[in-house]
Amino acid sequence: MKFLKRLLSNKLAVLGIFFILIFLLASLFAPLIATQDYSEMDLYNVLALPSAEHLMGTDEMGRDIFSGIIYGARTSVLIGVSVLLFGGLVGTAIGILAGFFEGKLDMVLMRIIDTLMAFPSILLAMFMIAIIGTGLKGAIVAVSIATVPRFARIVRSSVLKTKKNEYVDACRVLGQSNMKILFRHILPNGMAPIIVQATLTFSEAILIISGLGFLGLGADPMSAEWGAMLSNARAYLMTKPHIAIFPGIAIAITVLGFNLLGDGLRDTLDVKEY
Amino acid sequence: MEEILRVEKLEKHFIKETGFLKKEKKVFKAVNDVSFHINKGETLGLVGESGCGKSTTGRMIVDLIQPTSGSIFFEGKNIADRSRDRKSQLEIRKNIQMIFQDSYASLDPRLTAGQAVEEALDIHRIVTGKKEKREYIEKIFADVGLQKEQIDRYPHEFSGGQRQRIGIARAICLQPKIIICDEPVSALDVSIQAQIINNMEEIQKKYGISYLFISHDLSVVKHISDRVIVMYLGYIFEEASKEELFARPLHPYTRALVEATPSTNPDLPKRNKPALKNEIDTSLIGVCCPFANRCDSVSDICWKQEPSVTEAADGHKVRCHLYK
Repeated sequence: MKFLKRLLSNKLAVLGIFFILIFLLASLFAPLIATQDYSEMDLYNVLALPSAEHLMGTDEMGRDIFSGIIYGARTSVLIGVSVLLFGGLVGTAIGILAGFFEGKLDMVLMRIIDTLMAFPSILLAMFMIAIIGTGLKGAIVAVSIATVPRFARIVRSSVLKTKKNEYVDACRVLGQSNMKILFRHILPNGMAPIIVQATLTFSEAILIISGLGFLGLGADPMSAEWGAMLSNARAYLMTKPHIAIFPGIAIAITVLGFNLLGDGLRDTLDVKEY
Repeated sequence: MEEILRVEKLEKHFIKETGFLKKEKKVFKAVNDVSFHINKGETLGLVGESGCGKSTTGRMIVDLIQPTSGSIFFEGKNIADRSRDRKSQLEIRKNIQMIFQDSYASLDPRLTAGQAVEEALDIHRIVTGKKEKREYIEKIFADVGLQKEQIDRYPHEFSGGQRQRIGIARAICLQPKIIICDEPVSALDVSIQAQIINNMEEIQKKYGISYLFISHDLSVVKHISDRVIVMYLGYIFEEASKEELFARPLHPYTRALVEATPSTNPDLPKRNKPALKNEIDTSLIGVCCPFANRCDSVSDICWKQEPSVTEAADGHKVRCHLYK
């Protein structure tokens, strides 16, 4: 409770939470909020400016941009959650193994992670897509793999640090098993940097997948995905900029929200890593 | 008297790999040729300056550090090599417990005092059942001088002395036969030190536990111990009963230590001469007498040869060239 109070006294973090709430509500109640189905084309109103009928105007195929953004929030949640589930879990597992057992295992795992880390994540993701193939699934897998190294590093350092606490020695003396020491003592006490990293990864995943979508490597251009929408708008950037502006704002606000929350959490949890 | 723990020729060499591709190896001999025993229900004091290997010795006994060589016999069985099944491993763990110096660091901040003790009970299935466990913890808390209302509080809500009592409760709840006390009162105020020490003595009487009491504080060791060993740079310099050691210290190092202990009598004349000259020199380990550079009775042989242990009187052992 004390922690929540401290977090809420951080104005930027509150702003972040506010943005995230908008984003989550939009994705949760998308069919209720959206004025129409995104795939519905209004061919009489192609590239229309914002109006009462189309709140944010329409794109080159007459699709309602407002609805696209609302449904796009769902896609973004899917992206964020799946990247966290795949990349976050794998990275955490590697970090735990390396940090807890150290020695040769640590050495081998960390050199692999170092190699992965040497590539910028977007480059790594493009490389993976070249193997897996384009599309949202491919992009998610690619970004998941790209997030593994940083998670592994942060979890490893957190485990290494928490492990040195004397209460871990005390548990050993009591005869506690490695597994219980890890899951009952080390992980809960070393959770703070992992949580911060999770929030930041969520926004980064959205950003990278939008970037891939913009490059035509991500989601199907017909789907409601912010990056794909931006990519479609590219051709009309000079004449009808609103097609690009609204998805751009959606991406910016969501990413900003998660980043602000992440920073707020880091300050509140007093995390020195990252 | 029945012997409970015997340590024979215990050694710990820390190896630090340095240089390109870790080709160079630096060996630090932290514990050298340490042998002693502890009898049932007695307290063996282990004194020495910081870095003399006394904590390392304690940690080897509880298997937090693997000895380089040597044997540790618990009730006659060698436990130094612990590659055996978990069940017998747990049996040893249950019987040899430890109290740590830093009471705050040795308690998980996320567990309440009661949960810390309960964890120990759960590992060894000492008592089962929610109600029974609660009653048992209340009983143990009473033994260490804590209120039962404090069971559900978190470590940060306690004072240093009270936290150390939680540490003691966690150690004695398993009803061990021996407890390694690694500077248990060094971080506490003098007034609190006395309370904790007295409490530990009560517990010892009640449960018949043996203590290995590690400390750098001679006056505390003098109070609680039956016998005392003095360590310097990983070697045991002297071993004797408490009375014998303080009345008739043989080793020049022990003499200096005993003389340096502050007196509680303000009328005694002040000593002006520094107790010991020079600093600890680790490069002397394994070469000659490690104390040669600081000793006031040093002679030629001290620089040439390592001293061996001689029994100067009954139960009074000393490692010094002066006593041959």
